[in-house]
Order: sequence, then C-alpha cells, then structure tokens
Amino acid sequence: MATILVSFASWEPRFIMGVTHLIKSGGIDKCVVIYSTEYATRTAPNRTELQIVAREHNVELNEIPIELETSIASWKQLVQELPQYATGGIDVLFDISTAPREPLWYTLHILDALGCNMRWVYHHPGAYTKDWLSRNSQSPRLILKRSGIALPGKKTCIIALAGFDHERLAQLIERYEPIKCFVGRQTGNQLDNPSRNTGFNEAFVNQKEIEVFDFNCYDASNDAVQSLLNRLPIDIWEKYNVIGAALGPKPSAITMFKLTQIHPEMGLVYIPSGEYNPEYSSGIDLNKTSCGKIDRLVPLVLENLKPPSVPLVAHGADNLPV
Amino acid sequence: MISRDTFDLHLKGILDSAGTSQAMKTLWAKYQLAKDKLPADILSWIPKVDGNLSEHGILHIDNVFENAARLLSLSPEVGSDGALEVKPFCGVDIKPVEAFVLGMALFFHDTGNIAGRKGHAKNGRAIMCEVLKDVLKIDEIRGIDQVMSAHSGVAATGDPDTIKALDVAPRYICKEPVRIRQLAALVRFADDLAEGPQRTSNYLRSKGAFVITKPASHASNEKEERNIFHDYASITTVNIDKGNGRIALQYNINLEDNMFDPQKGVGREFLEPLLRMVFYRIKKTDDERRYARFYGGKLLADFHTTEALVQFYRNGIDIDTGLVPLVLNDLVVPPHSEDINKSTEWIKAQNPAYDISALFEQVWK
Amino acid sequence: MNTQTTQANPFEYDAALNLPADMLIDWYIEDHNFARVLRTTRNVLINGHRGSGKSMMLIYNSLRFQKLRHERKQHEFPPQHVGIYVPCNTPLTHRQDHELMPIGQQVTLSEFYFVMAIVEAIAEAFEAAPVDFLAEDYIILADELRAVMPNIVINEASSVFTQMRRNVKNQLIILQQSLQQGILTEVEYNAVSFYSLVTPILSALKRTSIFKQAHFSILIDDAHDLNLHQKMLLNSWLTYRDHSVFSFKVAVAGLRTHNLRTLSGGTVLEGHDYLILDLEQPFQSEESNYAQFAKAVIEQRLAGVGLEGVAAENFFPQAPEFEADIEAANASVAQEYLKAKGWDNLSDLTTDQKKSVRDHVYKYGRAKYFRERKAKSNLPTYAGFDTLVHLSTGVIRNLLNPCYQMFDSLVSKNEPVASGIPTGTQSDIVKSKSDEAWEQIRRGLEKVVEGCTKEDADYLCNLLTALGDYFVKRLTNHKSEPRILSFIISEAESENMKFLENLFRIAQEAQLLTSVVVVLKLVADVRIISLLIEFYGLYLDWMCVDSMEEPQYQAGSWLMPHVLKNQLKAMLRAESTLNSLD
Repeated sequence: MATILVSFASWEPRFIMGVTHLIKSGGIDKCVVIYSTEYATRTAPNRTELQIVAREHNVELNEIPIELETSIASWKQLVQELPQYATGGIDVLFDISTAPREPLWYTLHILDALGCNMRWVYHHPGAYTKDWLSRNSQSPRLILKRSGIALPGKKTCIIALAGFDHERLAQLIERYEPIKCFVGRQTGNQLDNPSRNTGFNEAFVNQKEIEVFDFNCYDASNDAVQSLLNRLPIDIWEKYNVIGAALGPKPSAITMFKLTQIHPEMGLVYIPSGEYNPEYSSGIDLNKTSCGKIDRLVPLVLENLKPPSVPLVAHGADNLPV
Repeated sequence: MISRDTFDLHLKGILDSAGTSQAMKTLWAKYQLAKDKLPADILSWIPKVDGNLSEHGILHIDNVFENAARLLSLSPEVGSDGALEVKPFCGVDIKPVEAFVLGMALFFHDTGNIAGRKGHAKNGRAIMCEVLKDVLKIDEIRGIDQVMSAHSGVAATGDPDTIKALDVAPRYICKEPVRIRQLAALVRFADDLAEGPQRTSNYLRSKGAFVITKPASHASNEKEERNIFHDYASITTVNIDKGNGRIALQYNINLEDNMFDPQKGVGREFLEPLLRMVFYRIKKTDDERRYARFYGGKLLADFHTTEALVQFYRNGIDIDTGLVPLVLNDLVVPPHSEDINKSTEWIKAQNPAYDISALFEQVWK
Repeated sequence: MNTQTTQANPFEYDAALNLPADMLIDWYIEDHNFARVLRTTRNVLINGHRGSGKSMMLIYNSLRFQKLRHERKQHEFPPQHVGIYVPCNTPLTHRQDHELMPIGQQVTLSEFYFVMAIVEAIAEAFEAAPVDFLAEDYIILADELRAVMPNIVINEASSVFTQMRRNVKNQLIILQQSLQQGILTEVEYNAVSFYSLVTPILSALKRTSIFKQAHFSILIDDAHDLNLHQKMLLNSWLTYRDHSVFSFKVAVAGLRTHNLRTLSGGTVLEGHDYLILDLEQPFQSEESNYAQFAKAVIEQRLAGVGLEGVAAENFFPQAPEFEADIEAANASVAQEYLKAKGWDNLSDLTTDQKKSVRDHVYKYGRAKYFRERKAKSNLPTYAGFDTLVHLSTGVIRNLLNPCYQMFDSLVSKNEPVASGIPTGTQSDIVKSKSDEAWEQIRRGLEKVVEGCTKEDADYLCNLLTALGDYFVKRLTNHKSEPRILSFIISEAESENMKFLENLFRIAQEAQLLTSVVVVLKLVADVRIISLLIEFYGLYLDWMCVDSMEEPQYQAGSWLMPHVLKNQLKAMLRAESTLNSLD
C-alpha cells in the first residue's frame, strides 16, 4: 500500500534533502507538508523546491499552514486538515526531523485517533550551528489532548529527556516545583554533545530531588521505552501528577508519546521558543537516520507492565494513601 | 485604560458608522470645533474667575468625560493605528445623535461658571451660542441646553427635580429622536462623580490659599474659615465599577503627628467637620445614584449600590479601625409577613390623601 | 535546589510545599501583623515575589498544620479560623482543555476544575486533621453532600470526607479521560459552581457543633497560575459581601499586574473587596520589619542545628577591617562637622545637636570611605548580616540561598561552622552570586523570562550596567551617599514609556527590580510621570516630562497617595531629595 508522507517544513537543508530522499526512495504517493505561518517566508524557498520534486515524482503535494503561537490555533488547524488526507488503515510515514514538538505530538495524536499505521523517521543534520539554536522561550504549556490525568492533592513529578538546552529543564523545574524529577541525559559525543552540555552537572547532578541517568534519546524503540520505564519507580504514577518533557533530540518526543500510550495519566509539556536561529543546522547525515514504528498499543512488548487502571484513591499531603 | 480620549474615539466611531450622511459628518466637525475652542477660550479661565471654586476647568471636564466613559463602560482598546478595536458604544443603548448631544453637553455644562457660580447651569447656553455662533442649529442648541442645564441647581419652578422638567418624549434633533432625560441623568451623574484630588491643589491648601467667603451650612462653627470642599477633594477617590453595579467611594484621611496630642484637640477639630462633609457627600452620592438610575433608563440601570470606605493614616501608616465598607443599595426585601397597619401608615406617609379617614370624607361628603 | 551534605544545612530554601511538615513548623516565624491580617474575616490579597514566604504563611495557617501546631506547640485546636489550603501551581490548573470549547463553556469547565480543587482541599484538610465531630455533625454533613454532590455514596456518615474525595476524583478522572479521547471534544460532566458546591459545604460545616463560631479561610496559593477565566471567577467571588462563613486569602506574585477584573466586567477594589498584605518589603533599613524578620529566621534556623543563642550578626560577622575603615571615616566626618559648627566636644552637646551629628555621619560617613578608597584597591569585603539582608531585597529566599551556599562551602572543606561564616567566605559567595546574576543578564535573559526578546535582554543589560556605573560614579564623586537617585527622561511620550515599562516588567520577572510605582503628577500643562523603582536597595525616582521646558513644580500637588509618600519619608528619614520636592 502506498504511503502518505507527513513532514514539517523548515528552512534547514535537512528538511528538503530529507524529504527529497524519501520521495526518491519510492512508495510515497502523497506528501502533506505542515508549515508554520510565522516562518512562512523563511520556509518558502524549500517548499517551492519541494513542489518541483513532488511534481517530478508524481507525488501529490498538499500544504497545511498552522499558527504556532497558541496551542489551540495549531490544534484546530491540524484537526481540520489532516483527516482530509489520512484515514483509518492508511500507512503514514512521519518525518519528524524539523517538526516542533507541539505540532509533532498533535499530529501523532490525530493520526493515532484516525487509525493510521504510523512510522517515523528522523534525519540528523550534518552539523548544528556553533551559535545559539533557539531563544526567547515562552511559558511551558501542557499539550491539548495529552495533558494527562491531573488530580488535586498530589504533588508533581517530572520525567524529562534532556539534550543541549539544560536551561529549558531548569525553567521547567522552576515553573512546576516538582517534588521529584527524573532526567534522562543524552549520551554520546555526537554533534558537540559534551561541550554543549556544560553546566548540566552543576545544575542537576547530585540535587536531592533530581535523579539523572544516561539515556540515548535517539532511540525511540519499544525497548528504549521499556528501559526508561525500568528507571522509574513503579509507584510514581499513583503518587504524583506526572509531567513528561522531551527536551532532547527529536526522537525523544516519540519516546514520550509512547509513554503516554502506556500511561495516559502522564501529561506532555512543551516550551515554545520565540525565535529559531536561521542558521540552525547545515547539511544532512543520511547514514545516521533514525526511524521506527508507533504501535497503536504497546502492551505486547511491555507485557510485564499492564496499563494501570486510573487510580481512584487519593493521597494526602504526605503522599500516604487515604 | 479608559481616558479622556475614550469618549471621543467612540463618538467618532459611531458617527462614522452612521452612514455617509452629511449630517453626521457635520456633527463631528461641530464637536471638533467645540473641542478646539473651549479649552483655551473658556475652560482654562474658569478657575481664575473665582479662586475659591473647586476646579471646574479643563481638568474637571476631562474627569467628567472619563466618568461618562466609565458609566457607559466604553472599551478603551485601540489598535496600533489608534482606531477602536471594538464596535463604538458596544452594548450601550445610545444612538449617534444622542452621543453627539451627550458629548456637547459634557463639554458645555460648566462653562457658565466663567460668569460666576450662581446660575451657571443656565448660563451655559449663552456661552455655547456665542462660542459656536452660526455653527449649531436651533434644535441642537435646545437639545444640548436641556441636557446640560439639569445637572445642577433647581428647575424654574424651584423644584430640585430638574430632570422632571425636561421632555419626557424624545426630542428630535437632526431628525433623530434624542432621549433628553436619560442623557441629562448621565451628565448630571458624571459631573457629580467628578471628585478627587484633581479638583484642588495640595500646595495652595497647605498655604491656606482657599478661604470660604460664607459659612458653609454643614460646618459646626460659623467662624470656620477652612474650605472644606478642598479638603474633601484631596481625600476622595471615586471608582465607577459598572460590572459590579456600584459606585465605590474611598476616603484616605492622613493625620499628622500633631493631631494625636489629646490636650490640644487639633485632631478632632480637623477631623470632625471633614467627616461630616464625607458623610454628607456619601449620602448625596447615593441620592444622585438613585436619581440617575431612575431617569437614566438602560444607560444607568446597572448601578444599584453605593459603597464607601474611610481609611485613616498616621503619617502615611495605616491606622487599623476595623471599619468595613458602608454599603447602600436599592435592595428591598419583602417582609415575610405583612403588617396591615404598618402598610396603611406607610401609604399615608407617601401621600396624605390616601389616609382612610380622609378618603371617607371624600366618599361620603 | 539543595545539595546533599553530611551535616544538616540549616538554611534550606526549598519550596514550602516540599518541606517536611515538622521542619516547616519549626522554621516558621510568626509575624504578629501578618497573623492579625490573616485572621480577619475579610478577603486578603497577599503580594510577594517567589521566595518571599507567601506559601509558607498559608500552609502554616492551614488546618493540617493548625493541628500539628496544637500537638507540638499547644496552639488552639480546633481553631477559630480554619484554613483550607488550595495550591494553584498544579498540572490541573495548567490544563488548557477549556480552549477546546466554545467561550461560554470555557468558563464552565474552568470553574469546574477550580471548584473541584477547592472541594478536594476541604476534604483533604479534614481527613489530615480529624476533629471530634459528633454523630449528628456527620449527619448534617452527609445530608448536605448528598444534596449537592451528584452520585456521591455515603454509607457511613463518618466516611463523609473520604467519599467527598473519591467523588471529586471520579469526576475529574472520567472527564479528563474523555477529553483525551479522539479528536472531537464532546464531554459530559456535572457542571458545578462555587456557590452551588463550596458554599453549601462550608455552611454545613459551620452548622456542626465544632465550628459554629468558626470562620473558614480559603487559602488560595499562586493565584497568578490560574487561567484567565479562573482569575475572573475568583475576583467575582471576592466581591461576595457575606463573610460570616468564609473569606479568601489569596497569594499572588506580582499583584500590580494581576488581573482584577470580574466576570461581569467589574473590578475588585482594594479596601472595598480585599485588604492587601504586601510581603515585597521594598524599603530596607535595620529597623524595618523585614530586617527583624530575617534576623529571626536565621537565628531560628541556627537554633535548629544546636546553635541556640547565636546572634545572626555574630554568625555572619562584618569584616573587621571594613568596619574599622567605616568607623574611621565616620569619625573623620564627625570631626569635620563639629569643627564647622564650632562645637568642641561631642559629650557637651544637647540631645538635638547630637542627633544632628549622627544624621550627618549617617549621610556622609560611608560616602567618604568610598570616595577616598584607592582606585586600585580590591573590591570591598561584602560581609556582615546587614549587608546580606540588604542584598536580599526583601525576599527571604534570596537571603537563605547565599547563606546555604556559605554553610555548604565550609562543610565541604571540613571547616568548622559553629563559630560562624568567615568574612572571606561570605564575600566570595556574594561576589560569585553577583557574577552569576550579571552573567545571566549578559548572556541571555531571553532564555529565562517569558516574552523577553534578545533585543530586550540587550537593552536591559545596557540599562542595568549604566545604572550601576552611575551609582558608582555618584558614590565616589559626591559628598553624600545617595539613597534616592533622580533622573529626568525627556520626550516621554507613550511609545517610549511602553518600551521602558516592558523592560521593567522583564527585570521584575527576573527579580532584578523589585517594584515599580508609576505616579501621575499634573503640573499646569506639563504632565510628569514619576517612577519609583527599587534597585538593590536604591530608590530611583525617575521624573519624565513630555515637555522640554523647565518643569514648573507645583510642589505638593502629588496625586501619589499619602500612604506611599509618607511611608517613604518615615522609612528613609526624610531624605533631602524628597524634601525639595515638597
């Protein structure tokens, strides 16, 4: 069955190079490009080039403009447009390489609700800019439809997969004042990871409420999700209101999404950026493409962890069961 | 934030949206002319005519316009181009010509003070005719004069109910019906609420520059020279809170250290007349509120409560008196059980002709 | 955040909610003025920065802690004022589900979440702190709950609070689960309002034998985290006139920019609808309430680790050489003054004359020290409890944080702590925190403050640098030490002022500026806008004129409330700058 390719337009070279590569690889009969109206001008050249590529390969190309400024605007636009192209049973390949996390999660949620068979792909850049990547961060906000099950009387716990920008993690902790925080820190020397991660140890390691562990954020497989779950105390889901953040490489957003499939009581949080560097990245490293599947349910692999029933028992201020 | 300009923005908006009729464009031009001429020619000269008056010039008129905007709950939101972001007078029961008449009346209502305080409400017409000679039509002049003349004083019959004397039915101006009584109620109320430190000068007060020329009827001592109006203005804040249906008065009375010397009694001498003035004004404001509500129709129907709070300070530091706000509202709770005799007496008190004995005399005369 | 140490650090500064209960009770310092305001039956808005102690104050006065205080310190229980603590910085409050709905339903859903949180808080409070209800009391409560909470099942009247919590949670879980489903938003739930649910429950509690004379304070913490509809709902509740059963005590960070509108389009008014309890304590001196409070906090903490009776000033001593230099400068200034006045001996002077000498030394002594320091000398030693209090600018967390690090620094080097923190350690930590703050200012406030662009961050960095430079210049080139600096900003039309106000907002959110007060003063045809800004203990009085002409001061015609102006005078001992404006 032919596949619909869903992608998020960017001015980065890896967007046009990645999508072109996927189209040329065959099996794509329709391409849906979501793009931000705030950056429409910046992404226009790449989108124009993509139209040419699509025409050359007889791929139907459709664009969905969305506003990133507010959750509800982008949600409404995606809900209105995506069902026109994706229906139950259809195979969808989602190129998440340049998708901001919030519309990324909305797209996954909608495709999941529509009954699509989803695969994802992530193209690594050749290099990131040495300068700033994003700035002017806005207030963290919970994702619509994936805000979890929050109950009054419970304290907050954060699960975060962290990458370069540990200031975002600090911002999140300051905002939600969690009683506990579990941070998976990106491992490896790729893309200047060690030098960009300076200050992380000082800020977070050996802090009483924060548990840091190494985690490969590029791996969003079911095994990776399992290993993340193994890191977490089994009772956090009952004891706390849990918030999940994907602050690391893009595949970490897939990991957190899968986690909400197992634990729908966890809410996803997003920290919008007001500004992205026009020279965000250069090139593409097709040898390091990450990809995977998103099952609509994951219980077969994680058979030891049944999706828990939503707790009906409250906890007092000492987190003792009432 | 609502400011002096808010009313003008809405007025322009409603006149512009009234269609392309030349008459509407002309009304705006007339209003602009008044706005250009009045401050320099009249308003800025009013305080200098009689130095004992609380401020009745530009600042006062600005305040009255602002009050009118608050009473009507006009939105101050403007776009980057300076134009209104909402529909003009949205949610307000007012027509374009009525808004024009209201604006003109607000401008001219106190201009008569330039010729002295007495009868100033009536003198405004002459000044309007002089300043806008050959500009206003006779129906406009009559309508504006009616609206503004009722803001103070007594009717020609001597009745303090000045609005009663105005046309009940709408008066036609520019061929449009204008509800004179309602607009008059608004002007009067906006004017009455224009109190506060902007009507006085703390500096001149402290130098004793304001001296009353006749004993104030509310002062306990006929030889009192202090101008209590200016003291009152300096302590008063008026909050027009349409959303909560109230006029909230706040009085911040600061007492200096020397007023706490019990031997000298300076504090009591200062405070007692001031408090009497405050209580007098609270009652007056509440009376004006009810009066305005009665005649103001939908424009002022929401204002069902007057609240007043008096706070005391010693050199700027709160004195905790435990006072809670005084609440005066129009609530009448029907009694659980009727006392027929009480009701009979109450009716008789409203109108003695309804006394049963008197009625018997009429029936069996 | 707190680093693990082998010896307990007495200066922990974690968020109040995360502190162990015993620790909170031991550490809390009662302020009689604050306690008096909290025990009023009127609504109170409590204004304070993060870390100023708002949450701790509310939690300390919540029912659970009232019971703990009774057990540990024999405080009254059941209390006359029952505190129901409702935190708002929760994932439930931060949900945006209401945005999925038409506008009218947004208010309904927002109120549902908020009311459920309050009901849960009531139930949790009484579960955590059981009171000796009689059987008939439970019947009263159970009957009321059956009437107002749909589908609640109460088999045993004494389980009424457990069932309340269960019912709240069931409703919230079912609603949130259905909101997560699919892509449409069609949910069913039993809409409730504050008056349909909370008021009857509190009224029922008041009918019980235990609480007939009691008053319930609903302690709303972090109200700035509520969504717009919830804020307006809360404001509408504040206008409720009947306080015979309950009132609100609402903690807010940034009251000046807090939304005070009600749902009906009205506004809540200070004095009429609420009292203000301002923890921001902008004006600092040794005699100020905050300084006394800070001293009590530190000494209480020291007592908790076995250092009873140790004065804060002794634990954080001033640098002796700095003290000696200041003394010498003061003495020199005093001598100059005596000579200029023709007075021989200090001891021969009258009381008033002695006071005038003290005032003169106060004004000019430190300035002389700074003025006469060698250009190449090192930074002064920043030590001493008074210095630390001053630098904390009225926010207790800003005091505890460096104290924590100083203590930690000694422990990590295995140095003794009982004799206090050496001046060198104090100074090092103060300088390092100053470097951190400047690093953040230079490197990117845009990363940490919402709505701050890179350009804003750069402008603010320039502004703060220039202000700091100006202060140094002023201090070293003038005879007196300024407590107030005045600036005139010309061409202050609204666009410029909007630009400045945005910078001030960012600086306040980053806790670089503490308070900004804008005062409108009308002087003839000249409109003067005066900004009083606190900047690390200095008060910058910015006078903006929108005319290039020399302003004609009509002294005294301030619209500034008497309160503010006279507070300034009272607390700053009538500085000359203010006097000249009078």
